[in-house]
Parts: sequence; structure tokens; C-alpha cells
Amino acid sequence: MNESNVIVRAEGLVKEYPIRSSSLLPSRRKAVHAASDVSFSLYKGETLGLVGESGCGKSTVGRMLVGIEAPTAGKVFYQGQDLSLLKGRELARVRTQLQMVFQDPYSSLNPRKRVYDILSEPMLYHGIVSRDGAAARVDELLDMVGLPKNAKQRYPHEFSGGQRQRITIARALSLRPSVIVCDEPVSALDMSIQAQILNLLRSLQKDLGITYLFIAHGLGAVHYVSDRTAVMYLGRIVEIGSAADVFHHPEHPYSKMLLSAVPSTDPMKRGQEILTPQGEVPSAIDLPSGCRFHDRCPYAKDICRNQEPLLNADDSAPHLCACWKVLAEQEGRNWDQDGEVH
Amino acid sequence: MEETYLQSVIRRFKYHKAGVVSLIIVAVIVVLSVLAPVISPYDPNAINPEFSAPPSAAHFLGTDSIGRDMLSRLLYGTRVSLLVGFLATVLSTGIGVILGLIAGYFGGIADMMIMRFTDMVMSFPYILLILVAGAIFEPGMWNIILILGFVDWPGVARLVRGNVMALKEQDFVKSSVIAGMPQRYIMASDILPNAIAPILVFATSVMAISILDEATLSFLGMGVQPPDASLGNLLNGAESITVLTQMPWMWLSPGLMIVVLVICVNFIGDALRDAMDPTTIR
Repeated sequence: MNESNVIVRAEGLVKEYPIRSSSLLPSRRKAVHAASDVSFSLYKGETLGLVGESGCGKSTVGRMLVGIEAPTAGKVFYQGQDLSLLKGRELARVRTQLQMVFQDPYSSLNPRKRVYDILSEPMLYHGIVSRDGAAARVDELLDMVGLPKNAKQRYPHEFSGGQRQRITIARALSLRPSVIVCDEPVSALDMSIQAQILNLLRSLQKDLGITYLFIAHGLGAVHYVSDRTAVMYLGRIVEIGSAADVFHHPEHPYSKMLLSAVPSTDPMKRGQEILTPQGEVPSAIDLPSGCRFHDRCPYAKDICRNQEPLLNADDSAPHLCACWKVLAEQEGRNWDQDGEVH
Repeated sequence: MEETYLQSVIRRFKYHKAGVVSLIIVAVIVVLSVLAPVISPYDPNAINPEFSAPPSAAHFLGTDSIGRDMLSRLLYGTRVSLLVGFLATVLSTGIGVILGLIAGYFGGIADMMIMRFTDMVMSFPYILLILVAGAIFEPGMWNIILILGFVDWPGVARLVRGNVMALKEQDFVKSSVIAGMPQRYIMASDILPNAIAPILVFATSVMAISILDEATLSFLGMGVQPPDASLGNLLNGAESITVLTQMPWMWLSPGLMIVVLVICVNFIGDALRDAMDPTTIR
């Protein structure tokens, strides 16, 4: 994976939502830390899965990528261009390259517009099609997502959830983007429909060479579609690597727990030990000191409580993990006998 | 072919019997008042030989204290009152929609300033405001329209602001932002069309209030000036005890007309609310 293949680069993305103090007395400004120092690269044509439990900041990262959420700090680069430096028309043009498919297909389509207008208006505005060519292009888009041509005459409320999600995918495709952020695109759909939509996304990727950031908490779906996978916990990426590595040889204790919680369909594997994290997810307002996972981690030591392990910034490594125990083991030290020397 | 949004609104409006009846009554009143110059039996300002005459074959609703035909004056008065109510509503709704849209969409300083100004206008004892404005500007139909229009908008502004703030966070608006669409498109094409239903419903109640306010002002002599008739200044005569007790025809018909108009307009608003409720749209 060389640098020239990087299509989107997230560099140290931070998102904090300040909390207004309700007391009149001045107090320390508090904030919800939705994302802290998140960096990763998206390579052309790949699917990067982003997993984590609810509230870990994975959607926030996706929203910062497409520009509907302004990062508190950090930058998003599209083909080397810093998006925060672009303005007006130029920004609008680059934005068309980064599209998004939302989780809820019921709120992501304007209820007062026919499918034809939903699909054609952005294309006409950006001059992607001429007024005469719009109808043919809309037909083509509907065909790509497996909807009949007459769908364009209808309103969103006349479609089922799965069909609506196909319309939002068609809308995302209409601007010929190179990257699509899929924010839990199948979580709101029936099991059988989920598979259809996932297959549709995969075949579109094969045909059009689109790059996906696939955000989900359903590990099965992520495993199915992604080439690489990143695991987030409390606003940080704790592990990133190829999907095969992360799913079959997870290193971070949190990843291990997350994966062991997936129910197995293999009867031979039933009854295997399930690692359950202790306690609750800590508050994103008062973050734990040191490693954010330490108070739920069975291996935690003093160093975990005091120093935060960081993901190695070297992106070329195929598998990265932010954990003192993993680091120690990589260096050949035995974690259990390593004492509290750090 | 599936029914359009408008067709489904009409279908569900029909379920509301009181609304349908009210719509018919208002439509008849509107037609009659528009046709006033054609169907009035007399010139509304012409003085007839019979003063304070009770209803008769020549004067269906009698005559007033200086001999003008009450039916003709009622038709012309209704025309003026409806015009005032309608135009004041259009004006105040227009102001409210624009201010509410700006406050709700842009937020921040713009929102703060607009909403504090709105609070200020709302907290004013507004009958006094109207009286002062009526005293400063020359009373008359057009000034009444302007005054009512500039007084009734805060409710609309608040309603629109709240709706816009909720709509702004909807995914379909976000998707227009992601698609690089300009703000004017997002406001005109994504936000306003989805906020129109509550605005229309609210506008009907503003119209009812405007008709009442016009009547109040004209009754107090700050509104439409005689000899022009309006429903309010037709009630002027009732200031006298003799008229009130002995000559009900001089105030009963304009009074009833006001009551009927206000009730019907409110029923129409109710029916619209039910018919346009987005939660019941399939």
C-alpha cells in the first residue's frame, strides 16, 4: 500500500462538543470527547470497516470526512488537498467526490420530492448532466441500484426501507463520487434486505472502483464487506489492520472482547469462553486517565492507568494496535511477569 | 398512479365535516362580498329617507341611524374585513417566515438578535401598540393592514424557527449539504416545503385574530374610517344603549358575521392541521 494510492487521509481528527454549564458560577469547561486524534488513510478502491459500540465516535468520524461536522482539530485531505483550505465552488466540487449513505432511509429522503428530482437536481446543479440528458442518467442510476424505471415518478413514502436505501445509494452515486461513507447503511433494515444491500454495495464497488468507509456496529456486515478494519473505543482507534487479521487474530483486548461477543453459527464453537468486558463504557465527558479501556481490561497495570498507549503513526504497518500489553509482547517481554517497572 | 401529497391532503380534509362546512360557508361569504358592488341593493353610503328602520321588504336588514341600508353596508364591510384579515395575515406570515427561517437556519448571533426582538414585540401590550400606531399614522384600511401585519408575526417566527431547527438536522438536508448544494437551494427546496403545513395551519388562526383585531380597532375608531364600512365600525352604533336594547338589527348582523367568520376560519385551520399532519401521511 503506497502513499500514491491514498485517496482520503484523516489526520489527527478531534471532535469535542462543549457542554454548557448550567450554574452561573464559572466552572471548568467540559466537553464530550466524541473523537480524539483519529488518523487513518483510505486507499483507492478498498473498503475500510469502522467498528465500535454505540457512542464510540465512529459516525462522528464519518461525518467529519464528508464535511457535515467541522473537526475541532485535525484535517481531512482528499487526494492530498486539505479540505479546510477550500472554499465556495471549489469546496462544492470536491464535496461531490465524498458522498454518504445514511443509516435511516426514512429521514434521508426529502418527503416532498419525487425520486426524479431527488436524483437529478444535484447533478444538474453541478453540471454533471445536461437538462436533456438527465432523464437517461436517472434511468441508468435506478438500473444500477436495481429499481424499476417508473420509480422516478414516485415519492419516497411509496417505497419500503430497502428500496429507499437503494434510492439513497443512487443519489450518492449520481455525482460520480470516488468515496462513499456508509454510516450504518443496513442497521435499520431486515436481515434479508441487509444482504441484498451489502451485495449491491460490493458489486457497485467492483464496477465503479468506489472506495468505502463502512461504519457499522454489526460485525458480521463489516467482516463481509471490508478489506481493512479499524476498531474504535471511546473516540480512539485502538486497532487497525486487514479484515482477516483483525477478525481472526485480534490483538487489542477490546477487539478480542468485541469479537468474542459475536454469536457463533458453528455448533462446535459454542460453549467457548466469551470474554465480556467488565463494567460500563466510561463517560465520554470525564475520560479515564491513561488507556481509555483500562478500567474494563482484565490485563490492566499501572502503566495502563497512567499513560495512554498511542497507535503507531507509521501507516505502512499492516496491523496496528494501541495497547501496552501487545507492545510488551511484541518486544518479547512477558506481560504477566513484567512487573510494574514502567 | 399513486396520489400526490395534495390529493391525500384533500382526501383527509374531507373527513373533517365541520371543516368542510366551514369552507363552504367562508367560500359563500367571500363570493358575496367580492360581488358586493353587483348584488348590493343600495349604495352603502347613500342615505335613505327611513332612519333606524327595522328590517322590511325594502331593507332586508333594516337601515342604520342615518338611513343607510344595513345589508349593503354589511356586504361592503365584510369585504373590507376579509381583505384586512387576509392581507394582514399574508404580511405577518411573510415577515415571520423570513425571520424564523434566518434565525433557525443560521443560528448563533442572528438567531439571538431575532428572537430577542421577537420576545420584545410579543411582550408588548399589543392593543396599546396598535392604538399608539393608529394614533401616529392616519387611521385607515391600509394602515390597519400594515399595523396588524407588523404585530402578528412573532408567533409565526417562533413556529418557523423551531421547525427549521428540527429540519436542519434531518439526514435529507445533510445529504444536500454533502452534495454541495447552495444554501438558497437547501432553504427553498428542502426546508420550506417541509415546514409549510404548520405555517398554513398557524396562518388560519392569525387570520381569525386579524379579523377580530380589525373589528376591535374600528369599533374603537382607530380602524377603518367612516363612511367606509367594516364589520368593526358597523358595530359602532352599539355603543349606544338605545341601539343595543331597542334596535338589534343595527349590530346583530355584523356581530354574527364576525362570529361566523372567526369560527369557520378556526374550523378550517383544525381540519388543515389534521389533513396535513406529517405523522399521518403514509
